[in-house]
Amino acid sequence: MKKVSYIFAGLMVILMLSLAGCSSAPEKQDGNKGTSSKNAEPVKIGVLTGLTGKGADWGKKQKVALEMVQEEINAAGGINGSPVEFLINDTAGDNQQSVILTRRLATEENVMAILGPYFSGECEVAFPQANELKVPIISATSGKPGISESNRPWSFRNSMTDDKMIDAALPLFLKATSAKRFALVVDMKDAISKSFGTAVLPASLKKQSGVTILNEKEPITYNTGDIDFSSQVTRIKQLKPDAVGIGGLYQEGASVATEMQRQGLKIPVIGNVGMYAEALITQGSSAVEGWVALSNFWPDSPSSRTQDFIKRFKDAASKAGLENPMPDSFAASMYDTAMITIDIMKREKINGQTPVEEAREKIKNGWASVKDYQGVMGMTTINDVGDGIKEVYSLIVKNGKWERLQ
Amino acid sequence: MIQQLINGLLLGSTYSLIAIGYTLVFGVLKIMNLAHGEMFMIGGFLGILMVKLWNLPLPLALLGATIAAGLGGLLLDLVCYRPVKKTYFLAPALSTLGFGIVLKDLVVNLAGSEPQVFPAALLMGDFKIGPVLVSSIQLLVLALALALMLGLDWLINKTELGRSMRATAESETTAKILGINVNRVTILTFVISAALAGAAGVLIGLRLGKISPFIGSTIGIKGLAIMIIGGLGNLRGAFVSGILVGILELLTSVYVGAIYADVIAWTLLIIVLVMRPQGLFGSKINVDRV
Repeated sequence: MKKVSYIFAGLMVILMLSLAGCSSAPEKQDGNKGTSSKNAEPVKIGVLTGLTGKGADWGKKQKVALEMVQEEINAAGGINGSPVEFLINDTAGDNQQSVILTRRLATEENVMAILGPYFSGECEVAFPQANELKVPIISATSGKPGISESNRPWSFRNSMTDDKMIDAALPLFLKATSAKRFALVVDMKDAISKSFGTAVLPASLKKQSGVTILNEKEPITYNTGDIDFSSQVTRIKQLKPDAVGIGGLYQEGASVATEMQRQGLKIPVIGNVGMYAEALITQGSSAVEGWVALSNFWPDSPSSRTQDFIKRFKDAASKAGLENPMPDSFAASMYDTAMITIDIMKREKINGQTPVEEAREKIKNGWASVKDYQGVMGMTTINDVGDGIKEVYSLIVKNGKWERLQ
Repeated sequence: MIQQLINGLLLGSTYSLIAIGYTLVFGVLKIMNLAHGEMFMIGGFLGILMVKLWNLPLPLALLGATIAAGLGGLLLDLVCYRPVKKTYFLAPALSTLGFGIVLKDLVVNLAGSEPQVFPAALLMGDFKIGPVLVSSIQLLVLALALALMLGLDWLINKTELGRSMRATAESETTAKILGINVNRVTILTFVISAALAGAAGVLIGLRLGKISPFIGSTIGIKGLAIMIIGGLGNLRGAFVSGILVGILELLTSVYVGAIYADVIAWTLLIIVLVMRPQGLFGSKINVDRV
């Protein structure tokens, strides 16, 4: 009998552990502490990002950015007297979690708006939910063309779709490298990487004169999370390209770079927004030298607004214990996204007492008419399909640092 | 083509190395050690830490990671195998699964979810045979897997410890009656298997240049499938089917597309279970239970 109860206890422990292992428990940010408006009902804004899993490096920084916003706004008296509270939920970059959490935030937590989710794949499934539940949902990062457009009127993306970005960046890349023969490499499991590598990049390359794509019909493929890239790089070599266009995320990107170095292939590479992360350099070191990525944020921008943001972010991130406190494009974008949302709320006289439906309607209308908002990333305008129009920077790894390619 | 076959052979040797660890535990104790993949990850992580933080030379770090992972195996035996009822064969599988989750979350919380990177200076060079590029560290993995297969085969079939292991595998009770120290046998089995996983983790970390805390789940589960394909408890089967899956995966990724590469191990598993449940190379363990 005693033995049986041991086993039972053991099983319960395991069950609890496995639940803890795969749960994405919401992290409540207590907006009430230390603010001037103590008793007011908080304004609740839901957030979906990845604090674990494939985009954790980016998600953790978004969290820091949101904590900065919360602190700043609440220290200055909140939103029309109510403190702001971000309900940050971890999707782990998982599409299924995004759906579940979107519904939960909209129906159970009754948030006034949802910021996120992070990846285009997540947005493709979460946006229809938000549209059906009539809650404004604003991704700060998704860049695959067409997702906001097919989920009007409640979906927005405070990010520029990558077709517009690559059109601006490609001429710079061609000028800097004089590349003519491109090989395409694609991460088939990641939505934006797949769309970039199989559709967006080839379309943009064809607009340039004198450029050939060596494997347009049969791009070289891999999956998010793969560890061995020897066969892919061997195939790139067989095509004898003088540049590689890659639709992929930075983690695998660094591995591809390392493998290219190992197999002695030294040619320029251009990626999209998913390739821009400080971690590409820490993981790829000398192998990613000369890699080009796209971004709407450039940390060395002379704008005082940007520099001030970076300074404050570094302090906050160091306090939060992040190994690399430098803000990336996505943290800056989340900061602006939250600030624009709060701006709209302030203007529309929304506070904690405003009925949720009314607040959601006003926030939606406010987002639809964002024009020339001056944020830490630069100017932002939302176009008629709900996507952002922003400044584009092509960034290149030079001497172990991201620099602007011009 | 030859380069791709070499790439596949070397990838396969990684799988073999892990499948052999599973096989050892299954062959002797008839339980699935689902923490094996995490032991492998821990080995890689500790190897990197020792090199990065304590500036240990590589052979010492390899030794240290092996010993540390071996101690992890000891802990695994004490926490997840000894107190659990063995007649219910799912119980140890679940307790080891839990142990693996604890290890993984521990690493994620202590070191973060980003992969840890080996200092570039340590990465070993490659050499060329004609136009074919061969990774020296990967060749080491292949040699190690082969040596382990032969060595463990010898250990189990020719030594006294091996005889006790086989007796324990046959029937724990009978082995006890015959005066075999069953506890010693299980401890040694866990420690050897975990230590091997630790060493494998460091070597594969060196080949890839980095180790992610989630590598145990991906590679570990695949290793489990490969063990079953090769035949439960069959060391040679584990070695050969590891190589087989590695080569098939690479060829699929080259000629069909990477999206189908992950399908290989599992399709093969289903085919083997339906057509030849004892595994490609046969199993010494009663098959009806699988």
